[in-house]
Amino acid sequence: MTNLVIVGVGGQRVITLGNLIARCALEAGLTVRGHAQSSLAVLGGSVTYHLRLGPSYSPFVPHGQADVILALELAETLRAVPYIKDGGLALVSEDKKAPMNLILSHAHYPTPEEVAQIYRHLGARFILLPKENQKTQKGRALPEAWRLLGVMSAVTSFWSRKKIEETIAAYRPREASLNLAAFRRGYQLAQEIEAKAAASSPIEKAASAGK
Amino acid sequence: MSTSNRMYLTGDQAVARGALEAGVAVATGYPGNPSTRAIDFLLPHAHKGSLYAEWSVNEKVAVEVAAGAAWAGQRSLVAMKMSGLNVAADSLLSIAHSGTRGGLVIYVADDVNAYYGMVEQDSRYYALMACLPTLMPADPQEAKDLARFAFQLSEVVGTPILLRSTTNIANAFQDVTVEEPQALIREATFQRQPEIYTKAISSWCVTQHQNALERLSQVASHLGPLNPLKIAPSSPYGVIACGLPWQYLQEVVSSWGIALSTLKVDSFSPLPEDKIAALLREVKDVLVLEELEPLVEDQTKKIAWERGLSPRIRGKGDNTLPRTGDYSLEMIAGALGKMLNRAPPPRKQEEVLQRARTLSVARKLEFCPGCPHRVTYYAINQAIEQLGLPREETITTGDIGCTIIGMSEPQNTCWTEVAMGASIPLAQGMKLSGIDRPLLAAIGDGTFYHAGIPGLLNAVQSGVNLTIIVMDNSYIAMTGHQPHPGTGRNPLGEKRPTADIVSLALACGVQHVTPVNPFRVTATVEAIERAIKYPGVAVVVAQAECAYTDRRFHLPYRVKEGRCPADKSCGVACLYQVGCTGVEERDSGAVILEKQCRGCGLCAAACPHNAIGRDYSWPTVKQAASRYWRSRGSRTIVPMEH
Repeated sequence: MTNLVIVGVGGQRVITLGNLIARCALEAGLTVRGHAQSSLAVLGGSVTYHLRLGPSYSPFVPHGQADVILALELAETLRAVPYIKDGGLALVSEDKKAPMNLILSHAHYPTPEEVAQIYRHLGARFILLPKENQKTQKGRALPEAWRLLGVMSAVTSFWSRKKIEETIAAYRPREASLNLAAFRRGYQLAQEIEAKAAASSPIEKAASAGK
Repeated sequence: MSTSNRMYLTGDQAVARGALEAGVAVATGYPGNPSTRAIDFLLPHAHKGSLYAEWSVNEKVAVEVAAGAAWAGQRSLVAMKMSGLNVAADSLLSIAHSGTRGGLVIYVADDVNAYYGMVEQDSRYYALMACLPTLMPADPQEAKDLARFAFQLSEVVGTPILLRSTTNIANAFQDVTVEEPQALIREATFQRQPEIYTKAISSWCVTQHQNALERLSQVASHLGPLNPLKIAPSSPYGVIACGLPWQYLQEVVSSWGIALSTLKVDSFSPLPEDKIAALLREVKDVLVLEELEPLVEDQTKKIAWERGLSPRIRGKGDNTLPRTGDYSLEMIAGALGKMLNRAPPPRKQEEVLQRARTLSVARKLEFCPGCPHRVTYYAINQAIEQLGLPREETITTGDIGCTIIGMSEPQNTCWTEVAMGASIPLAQGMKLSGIDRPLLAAIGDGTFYHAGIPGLLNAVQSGVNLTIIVMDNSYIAMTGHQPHPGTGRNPLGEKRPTADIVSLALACGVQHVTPVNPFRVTATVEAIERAIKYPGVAVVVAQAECAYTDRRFHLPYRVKEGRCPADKSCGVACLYQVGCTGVEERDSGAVILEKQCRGCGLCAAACPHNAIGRDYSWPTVKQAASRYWRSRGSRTIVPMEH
């Protein structure tokens, strides 16, 4: 039984990413339940996708039982806090999508360190993906959702890399090359992060200190 | 997506799949989350011959079209959200009393917790009011199975069936076991039977009412394995659950490893009274789990009283569970723990969770970058100011859809939101009450076609002085860009005649109608000013396609070098008056994020220093051109994939 919670805002492909992971699980013969809550707004509202891979009854992940949290937006990461398991993994993008009401009221937008601290207090491993401005040859930015998936596939061992790449290619053939490029970049990035962690980088040092 | 006979579907897609398997011939509906994906799912299948699917102009029309098809012997599905059922209620009750020949299933999704706005209501009251048999699925698999079964039941008994789900079931995903869709080839016929299909004679109406009640009691004998009752002789505790709370209960019971007597209520109407009584006989303490109104709970109390049974009945009556908002796994575990005297698990790290809650960012509704509505609201505010009217005293009534985002900061324009089309009559009423300041009504295009026209006719006839701003972005945008009569195409992309809002307003008798392109800000402000000054009903139609679907070539704007003063004496109008996330305030002044900018130019219009202009630099032009060519391939709106 694996529980995932994916969070982000409208337009970041949270639901597409969740559907793709569900498809990987379905092809691996697992039963899947999930729940996607989007907002009323076409773009920019909170989106949460719960995924339960394996036999379950509720479409929602119970509190304290998420193995992995994938966050495409920094502040949204806080919405998933109650779900993280002791010893779980939070993969967090540095993307910031501050809502207009926050900008207009000059309210505080959480810093990566504040978010990381909360997860470490709960005994979770927190990996913040640094912002990269890598683009394809045609000048298109790599979609963050697939980069995050690449990192997840390197850090966890749910399915083989090849399996996920095949699913990505079959899922949306028109965007396959772009999505695969982002996925591979994420995979590579995770390996760099892991190598750094082995050499005791600040990220991992702080993570192990929190445990 | 599917692997062999499994499909990964949401609850409302599953309803549509069940209808396909039952051989549905006509499917209608009006978009409204959380029920939108049911018709969206069927539309691709409508290409293939035996199915006709449409987005109707409103829910009342949708129910009538579906009933017409069902009376002629075909199977038909109609889907809507709970607010839509209120619109359709008049026809619904009439049709329910007449009954049906072909299978007629009305799928309604109650937005428990009001995630998508509007009144949090329990549509099961309509089941009681209309003598409608009502089934309630608990997950997508059941939604599919019950939808399919509902068509058979509808034809066997001759009654429409209400299939009622909730947001969290409609939005839930599951790998559903599916069977092959079937196409029923039936000849359409309709016999003249005025005693059934008219309400012209009172004795006929009373007989129809009796027959509807009779059909309701017949349904009870056709429910088969529904409403499963499980008695655990060792336990004095029992639970009656319906809908999603049943799934939560299963999750809690399996993780705790306990045995309980349980009754799952699949059919709200007719309620399995004998099974409820059988459960009550076996237990000392029973918990009723249902979201929103305590309807099953109250019936359980009635059954207990009638049959002289006296177990303790817990639920909403004793405040174990709330009557508002949705339930969660944790709430069900809490309520169950209270009944079983099980100590709640220690809530570890409560202060960390509290810190996460205080830090987290609330997101209010905001316009997308490039939205024409933002420009229109800006123009309304400008017009009000230029006429010397106090902004905080000038009333603008708002309406449903994307246009209601005008109530958000920094526009702060809309004052009210009631129901589809209510903005115009509300404004008329306020005017008649004696408010002599200018009064505006802001309404979207989809809403105008849905229910705005009667209000406009009424306002014209009353002779009040009113300014109506219709914002036409060519789609019912908020629910995912469904077409409406003004789009010019049906959902399959085939050409259809366009109902022009300007001509409609003229036909309603409005003497002062101005179509404007909202992106021409100055002209729009002037048009709104003239409309406000006009004595009588004036209509301004702001026509520009939704920024999300608009694939025209556009160049982004940029702040001209050295023109934006760092002292910010203008109050950064391009951000704080416009409210676009494409503009960022930095120490050096404002910056426009090229990636976000859709080239609407409102920031340039708002800038008092004339410091913002189109970016004609070669790299930008090249990139805009490549974006334009790339987007041409994805011009059509594809319903969500499955």
